[in-house]
Amino acid sequence: MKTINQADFTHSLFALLKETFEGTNTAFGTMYLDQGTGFFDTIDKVDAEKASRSVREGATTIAAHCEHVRFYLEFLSNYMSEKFTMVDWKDSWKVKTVSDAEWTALRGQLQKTYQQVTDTFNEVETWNDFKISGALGILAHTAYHLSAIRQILKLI
Amino acid sequence: MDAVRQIEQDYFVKSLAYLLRETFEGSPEGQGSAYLDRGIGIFSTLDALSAEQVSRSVNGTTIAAQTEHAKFYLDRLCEFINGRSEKVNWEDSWLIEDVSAEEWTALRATVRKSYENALRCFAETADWSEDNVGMAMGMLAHTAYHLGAIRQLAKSVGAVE
Repeated sequence: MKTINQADFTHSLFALLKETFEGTNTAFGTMYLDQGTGFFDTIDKVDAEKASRSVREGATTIAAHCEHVRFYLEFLSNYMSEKFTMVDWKDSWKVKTVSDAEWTALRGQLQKTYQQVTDTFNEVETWNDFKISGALGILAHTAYHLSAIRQILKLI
Repeated sequence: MDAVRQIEQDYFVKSLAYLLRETFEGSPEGQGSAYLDRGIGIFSTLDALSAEQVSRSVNGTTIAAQTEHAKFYLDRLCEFINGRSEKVNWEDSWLIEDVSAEEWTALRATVRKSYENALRCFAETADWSEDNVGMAMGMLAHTAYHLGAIRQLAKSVGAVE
């Protein structure tokens, strides 16, 4: 059986997760994002009014994307911790507009859920295919919505 | 002394290929999706767009430019995993802005080749060093990122709901 050093996998995974959420401001460059374009860098510059604005009728808002990302992170984090729950994915798109207080709360919840994800990853002892797929799903899903949010931001 | 923890290479490669396949081809029929809505992937998104639509500038970028950039990144990262040591001029990844109908057909065909090459690269790589593991996961994240951009741009040019 061919193997990969687990630390080589987790170092890269954490580096990419950190870049996706926190961005990077080091002299060493980034792996796939431009500097200063991480998830929190992006949404912390947006106010509640902008986060609630649709670029056209019926279009999803930045607030909606943020809640959807938070919902997915929570679900996958629980799933990877083997806390299986049935969810209705339509619920992940329930938020459309936010007040100032709701926007602050949503960003705080995203930070907490991100922390929950890193805790979950740190607690994994054996990275089997189920856990590797979950972690890669979190990475890809967040990257996808980060990019959508950054495009919406250019239009509002 | 504790043994250094290992993960099965097969688990990593198959999981990575599964996620990359979903990113390009969409989730397989009859199976759950890992992160995209059913029917959404690079190929189905690009195939629904005309050369005129992908050449239309939306806030300083076009779908053609995003497509070429995503393809360029995939190709170069495969080369690095296969041992490339020369630096890349990343500005070259943004040289395409608009395309004719023929160029759009050709670009979509090269995206398919790059995707197939990436899957082959994952399957054939023997040395999964930390750098190679990181670059392979970066290929997934980067492609997912630009798919997210392309789908938003497609809404702006009236191509998808």
